[in-house]
Amino acid sequence: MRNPRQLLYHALVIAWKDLTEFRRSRIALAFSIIFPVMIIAMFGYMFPSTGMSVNNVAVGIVVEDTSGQNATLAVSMIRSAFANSSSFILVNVSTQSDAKAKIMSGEIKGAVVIPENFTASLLNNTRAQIIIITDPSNPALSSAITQAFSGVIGAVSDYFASQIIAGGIHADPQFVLQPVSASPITVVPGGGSYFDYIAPGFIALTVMMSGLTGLGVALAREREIGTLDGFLMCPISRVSIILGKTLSQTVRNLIQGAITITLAVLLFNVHIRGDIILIVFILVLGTLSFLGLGILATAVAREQESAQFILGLLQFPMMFLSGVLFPVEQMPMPLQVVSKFLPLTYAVNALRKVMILGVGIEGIVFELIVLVILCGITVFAGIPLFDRATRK
Amino acid sequence: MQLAIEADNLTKRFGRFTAVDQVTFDVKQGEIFGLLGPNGAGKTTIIRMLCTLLLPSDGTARVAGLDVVKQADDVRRMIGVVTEKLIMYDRLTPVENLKVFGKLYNVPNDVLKQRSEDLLRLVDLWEWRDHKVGEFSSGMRQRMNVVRALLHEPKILFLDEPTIGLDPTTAHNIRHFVQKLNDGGITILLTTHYMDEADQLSDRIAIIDKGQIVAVDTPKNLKTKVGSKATLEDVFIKLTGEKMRDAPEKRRFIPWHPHGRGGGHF
Repeated sequence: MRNPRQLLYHALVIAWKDLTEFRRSRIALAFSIIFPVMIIAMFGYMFPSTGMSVNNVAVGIVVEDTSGQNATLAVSMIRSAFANSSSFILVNVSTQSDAKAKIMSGEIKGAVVIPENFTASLLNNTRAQIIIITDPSNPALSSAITQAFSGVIGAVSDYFASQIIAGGIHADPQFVLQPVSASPITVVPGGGSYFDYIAPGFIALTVMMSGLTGLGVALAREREIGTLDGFLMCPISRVSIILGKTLSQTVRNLIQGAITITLAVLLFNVHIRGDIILIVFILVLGTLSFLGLGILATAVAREQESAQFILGLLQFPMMFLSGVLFPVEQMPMPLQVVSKFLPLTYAVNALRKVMILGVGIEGIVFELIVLVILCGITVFAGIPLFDRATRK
Repeated sequence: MQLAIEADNLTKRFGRFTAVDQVTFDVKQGEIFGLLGPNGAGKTTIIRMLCTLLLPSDGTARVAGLDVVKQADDVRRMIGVVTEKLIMYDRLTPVENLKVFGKLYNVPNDVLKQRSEDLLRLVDLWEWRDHKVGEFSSGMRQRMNVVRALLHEPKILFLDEPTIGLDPTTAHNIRHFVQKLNDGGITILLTTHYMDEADQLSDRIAIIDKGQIVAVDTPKNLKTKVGSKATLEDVFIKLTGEKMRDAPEKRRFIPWHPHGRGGGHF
């Protein structure tokens, strides 16, 4: 068993070497700054496409009004509207605050609340409200929920209007025309823009993809030009080599992450509600969870070109299936299942919750556990594979 | 005399291809041992196994009395390796390059500083200490490559084609330096394609062909066996044949060739 202090010392020497090389390469330095600027600028000016269909989105139903038939009727109309729909799954939730907590944790994506005064308002000939609560960290999905449920609430309103007219009730014409209205609110104050939604995704993508390709390509390059042999012939652990390369890559990635976040905040008014330390922590953990994949690719590929090809194959599906650009719920079910196996999905979810919803560490425990497990599996499988590949 | 290197039935297979086939030889302490052979004969594969960079498929090898598989780390402390490919970082200066490798060999800082200066002065690179290695000529880079391998004061030095591609003056200086190192007590295993170089430097020579050793002796004895006026090149051609070889280390297996004998390795 090697001395952990020595292991870390050797890793730091290798990291220092890598970072000195990086600092002296004008092209590498320029591109590592240009890349996040380009990505954030490109998507900062993009707008969401209109029209969207979703699948299996869990929406809570809260019935606070237990006083009359009107509320029961409204709820059954809403339920029957989505009975045969694959878009939304309606889930009973006891209170409005419970619904908000479930939205924050990601358990449900929105909620419809029949408030306590619903029946009373209708009996007093004043317009009754049905509240739609959405998640501003996901504007595209929020918009889909608001649109779908507003339509159903409109139908509920029309039904009550016809009952009022049939009953010959004299009331304010505006009330008669629309006795029930939808009242959309968000789980935290302020609405989100599409860019608010994709910014955390792109920060995660920029940082972690650089980690994935950076480490893999750096190792493959050293192997191809022969310099890796220099490390392999030293009396040091293979873990030190991987750890050293990882450290230098993580530093580079965090610089890129800082540039991306700064630009997102300054140029595109992205609001960061959560703790910046927690954001950095997610980025570091996310980067580490990608490293194993980079090591695995290097173990398989002997040349830099092959490593790049394998890494590209990993990179592209992750970019589109991890909810970076559009919600996972918008994808067909088989792809939603695939997304659950991608580390980027969890990194993006965690980052989005912290940045947009201001959730603390307790709200992203699940995502963090998944990232730690993925990191462990890939790194523990990757290091012996790398060792074997370099000596076989 | 104690043995610095012992290879016993050392074998390396890459899939169906056997690159090194039951090779047995030893190198005495303080000796310069030449390993000659055509391209793809298995010289580099033997060196890589002895340097712990490749695991043997079969057989055993001991370097400085240590098993290359079971005591790989201890072997690494005892050896210096100058590979065909230069092991150094172009964007670092010579001093920085030596600092990286010195620290990985746990050379104390003050010793490392002094030894780097001594070695760089020895190969006339001290004046260039603040320049990046990327600015160096191929001769300077090869001198750096040798210096890097000597930094931790190894007992055994592996030189895999150390003068390849160098001009005659630089090659001469490298050879002179190698001789000086050997005079200082370092055992050297050398591979080269230059017969004069092998003849001039080696105490003993092994000629390897198709992964097997076909002759081991002193240069003088090898030449005498072929003829009174024979050169080492004559010996080499006689033992390995006149047919040109252009095979890389990992040769492809060709099951059939329309103009060949059907089957074999390229």
